Amino acid sequence: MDGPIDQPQNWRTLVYAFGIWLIHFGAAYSGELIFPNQSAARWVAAGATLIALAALFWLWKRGEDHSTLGLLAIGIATTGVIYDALPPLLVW
Amino acid sequence: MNSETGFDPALYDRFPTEKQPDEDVEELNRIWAAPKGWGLLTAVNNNYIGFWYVATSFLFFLLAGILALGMRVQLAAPMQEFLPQDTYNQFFTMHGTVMMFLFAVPAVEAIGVMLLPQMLAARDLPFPRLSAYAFWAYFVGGLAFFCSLFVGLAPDGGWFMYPPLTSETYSPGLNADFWLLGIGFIEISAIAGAVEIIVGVLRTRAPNMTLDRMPMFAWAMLVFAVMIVLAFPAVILCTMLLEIERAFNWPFFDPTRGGDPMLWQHLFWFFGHPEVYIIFLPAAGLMSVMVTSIARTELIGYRLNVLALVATGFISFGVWAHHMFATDMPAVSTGYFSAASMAVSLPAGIQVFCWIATLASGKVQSTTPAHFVIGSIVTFTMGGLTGVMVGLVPFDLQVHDTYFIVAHLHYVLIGGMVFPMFAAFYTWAPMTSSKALSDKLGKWIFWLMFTGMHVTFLPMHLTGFMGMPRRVYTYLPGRGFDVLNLTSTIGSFILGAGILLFLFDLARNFRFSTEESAGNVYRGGTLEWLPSGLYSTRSIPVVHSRQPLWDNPNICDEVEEGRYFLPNAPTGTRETLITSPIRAEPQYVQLMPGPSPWPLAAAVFTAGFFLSLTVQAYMFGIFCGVIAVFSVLRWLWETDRPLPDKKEVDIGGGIMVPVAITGPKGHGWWALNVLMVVLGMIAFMAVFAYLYLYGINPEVWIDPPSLGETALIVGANGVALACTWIGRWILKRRAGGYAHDAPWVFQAIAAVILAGSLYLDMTGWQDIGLRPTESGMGAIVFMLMVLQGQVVIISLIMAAYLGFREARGLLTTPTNVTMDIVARFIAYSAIQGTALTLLPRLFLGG
Repeated sequence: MDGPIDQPQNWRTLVYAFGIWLIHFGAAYSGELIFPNQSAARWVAAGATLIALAALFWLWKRGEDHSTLGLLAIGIATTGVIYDALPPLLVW
Repeated sequence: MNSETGFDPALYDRFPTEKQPDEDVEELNRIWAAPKGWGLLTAVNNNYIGFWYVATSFLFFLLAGILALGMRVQLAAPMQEFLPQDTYNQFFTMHGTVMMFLFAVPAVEAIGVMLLPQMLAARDLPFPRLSAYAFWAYFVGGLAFFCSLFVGLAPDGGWFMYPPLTSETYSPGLNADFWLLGIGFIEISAIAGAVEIIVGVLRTRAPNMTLDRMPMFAWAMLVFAVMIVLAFPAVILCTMLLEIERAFNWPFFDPTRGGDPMLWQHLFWFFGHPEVYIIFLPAAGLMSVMVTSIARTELIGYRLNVLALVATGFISFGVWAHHMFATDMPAVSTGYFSAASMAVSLPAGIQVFCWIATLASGKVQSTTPAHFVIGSIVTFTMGGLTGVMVGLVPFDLQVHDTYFIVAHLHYVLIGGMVFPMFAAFYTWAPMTSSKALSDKLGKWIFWLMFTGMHVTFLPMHLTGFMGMPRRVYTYLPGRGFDVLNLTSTIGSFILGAGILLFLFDLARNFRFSTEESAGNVYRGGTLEWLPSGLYSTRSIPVVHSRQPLWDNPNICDEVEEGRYFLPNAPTGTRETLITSPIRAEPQYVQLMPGPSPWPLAAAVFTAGFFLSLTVQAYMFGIFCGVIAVFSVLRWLWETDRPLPDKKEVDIGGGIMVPVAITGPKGHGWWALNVLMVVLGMIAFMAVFAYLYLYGINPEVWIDPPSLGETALIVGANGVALACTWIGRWILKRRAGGYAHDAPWVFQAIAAVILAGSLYLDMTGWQDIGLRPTESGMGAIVFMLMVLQGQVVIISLIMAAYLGFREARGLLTTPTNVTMDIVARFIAYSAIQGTALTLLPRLFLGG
């Protein structure tokens, strides 16, 4: 019997979920590097957050038979994205 | 069940087969026999290389520990003169550097080299000569680096060597150069080991050991090696930049000429923080394996652990700047890194809870490994909690660069890596020794180390809160630091006593042997406890669970009787079974190289090259470099041998597989991909450096050369790319006949075109007046060309090497591993050249 990790859709979900987090982090931080202390950086972060959350939602919807593993990966990545969305909202 | 490769899983039902003749074992012993006497230095087998690797890393642990004791004596009371100020600076720099670069990373890599083949039931790791090179490079380079302390040339700028303190102005002399070149060299060794581990874990697992059945240590080593490949290029690049700035006055970090010292911190910590997880994850993998045998039950949350490892691998690349909160970073940026630092505690927490749940659900044996494992969980959790504290920006600003940080990092590293490693010593020493270490002494050692560790570092939290800064060689009396420092010093000697007792235990009980072992003392359930010789297991079993030895009590006898895969040596030479990456389905038999002096020679002369550069003996450096390249090519010469007459062999149960293949199914294809990721990451970090400096100091930027010239360079690189493809196409067309000259000539043309386009690129920038010594822009633009120059030189050497092989009739048709590798590498060079040419030419002047 194959385990959940042996199913390509599960490890792809794992890698995609954390990949989305990493890209979101990179985009938000790059925005701040390019436009330090400017509102443009906040718009970049807001846009990146919306796209990342949409991508995670798509990842969740695309697999009908997600294992717990995949769901947890999406959960942790979503938590990470939301965490990263807080600084531009809270720090003024 | 779906198949990954077309292999029919029903074939596994043929195993175990009938008992195979005992003569096959004698044949295996003959083929895998180690050289005798001094010839042993040419051994490449993981049983020897792994053991030497572990022993050397432990030697560096002891040496760095002695430096720590020296520092603690100096700080035991205020205003002491036990160590002069300069020597103290060298001590703390060397202590940190040796512990991080010469002990922690090599130690876990060494345990991987030693354990993984047995744990995966492979004959050896797929590139044994690369393992040997990695070890010798580390051994020679590490010792030479450490010896700089005895001649007063040890680095003294702290283990992270921040400029401008380490610039030529403030750190004249060779001390900083020893660090920069020594560490760069040792990182090459670490990357070589990582390539070996990635391909080994993904391609040499026992049949049917699917990803879901892989030992947690193998998972951890896989993530560890991928992280090395992604993180270490950053430190290689930043050491190159600083060394070039020091030697040739290219102002990467000089703000007066458009550089920026903060660039160093970004590049260093992009490596530096993942480094912490690079150290922790393999130790966590060992913990997961040991917890299972300690509790005598399956690991609870195996898949959660895998998830946690992968999550940590990703998130750890988003926390590097939390080491830079005290710099002038924008507040929102600090917020991002603070948030990521909180997030990374989630997967770490998952692992800790899995271990606790496993221990709680099983029947814990009171053994030495159990003591160290539980001590590790307690200590690491404490360090993790203070980590969350310093992840908060306002708190970090209060304790930054104080002893609180020293306490935090030692709790994390000793709890997360040192205690698990000692647990591992006791668990796996019986595998390589004819006698087990003493369990009774081990418990004494644990309590001494555990007590000593907490007595040393717990007070440092207070010392830090009270404001004592790190890296000062003394302090004034009456500040409230006296008692706390004395307590820490006493604790450090208790810790030292524990390690001394461990040395006694080693001397009394440890007897290295490849012929007899003390056996499975702690009743582990994974494959490394199968009966084995230098060829690993006699036959390679079919794996049906995560603890095969627990689930099939007869497996040891069945394996020893040759009733599984590869019960003999069908090609009459060293070989191992290559399996598919996900479901570990048998794919082909890999022919493996035997003992060779060339990896040792390559390592010695590579070390000679770097040391010569350090002391500015450039001619001798070039000589060593040429010999090192020759040694590498000589070692490779034998590895791509023409195939034996048999194109397919029976690997047991009547199952036939090919002998050695090229292309995406081949292990060499995977290794080259990993190498290209390393080179790509170095280029990527250089691009980051370019963009960073452009963003910080755009006023020193000038307009790029003309578009026409840019188009010409890009076009030339495109032609080079096409040439690589044409060469391979011609080779394929000549199937069954001689290769003749055309295939390699096209590769040589491609490499020469790349050299020409690089020359055009360089002269183009020079013609518009850009000079590398005059501005940050000049330095980084020419640095991009230096990086491209490196791959172009390698491309030229590879093309010439291919020509030599063709001349000797070794360029076989229709496909050839060497041709495959050379063509793909030159193609990579063309793509990198295009990217690095285009980037600076797209940005206008400020």
